[in-house]
Amino acid sequence: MPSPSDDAFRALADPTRRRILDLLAERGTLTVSQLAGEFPDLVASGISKHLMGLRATGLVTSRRVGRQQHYRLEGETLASMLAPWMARYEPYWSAALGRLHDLAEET
Amino acid sequence: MPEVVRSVDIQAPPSAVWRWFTTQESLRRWLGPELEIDLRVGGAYRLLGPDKETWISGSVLELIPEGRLVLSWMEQGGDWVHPSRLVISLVATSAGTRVTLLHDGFAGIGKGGWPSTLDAYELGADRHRVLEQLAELVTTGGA
Repeated sequence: MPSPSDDAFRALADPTRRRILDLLAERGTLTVSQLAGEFPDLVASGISKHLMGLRATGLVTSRRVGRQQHYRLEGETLASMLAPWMARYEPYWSAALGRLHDLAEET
Repeated sequence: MPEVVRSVDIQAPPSAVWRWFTTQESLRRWLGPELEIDLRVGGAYRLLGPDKETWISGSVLELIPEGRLVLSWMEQGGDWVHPSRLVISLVATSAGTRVTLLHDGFAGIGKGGWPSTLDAYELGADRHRVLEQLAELVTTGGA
């Protein structure tokens, strides 16, 4: 069954989209043309398409300022999407620490 | 940020607990029997994940005797390598040692810690280098 995490990971599977998220994380808010300037090999419409994909997952949000759309990263969305993935580790780590406990106390 | 934190109190001093962190063989006893690790700062490792199918790989970020072991943690799967960080720290207590394990996903995204996540991306993108390190590890016997 698809979960929000699957969408997030699918969105993150693309290196251009990861780079967009990196740029937004580093610089806060960027316009489409500022972002497009970072990808000289891609057409601006391609960047817009990636941004729409990221916006559909909630990983980025946009706000219109004058004639420009300003994009920013939604770190909390990413955090909540990743939570189920992280939760898979809880029993794994409990078991590992239990083994360490027994080894260290036995010897 | 999503994270897993677990602690355990052990009735033994940190020196006795750290014994289980000093060699690949001793780490295998509790961390995972398939572990392959070049146990020094910058050294590569790999380990089988919770599903017993997905390989985890990364490198040793910190190794402080009787203090802490920090690993970069990348889950290999499909096109995307999930980067996170594992911190295992030892603190002496009156009864012995408290061992705390912190596994944080995307440490510091959108915050000051973001560059470390960027580094993890680059390691993930450059998976072959990780594999090269592993190959080297295997051929040198992982001593």
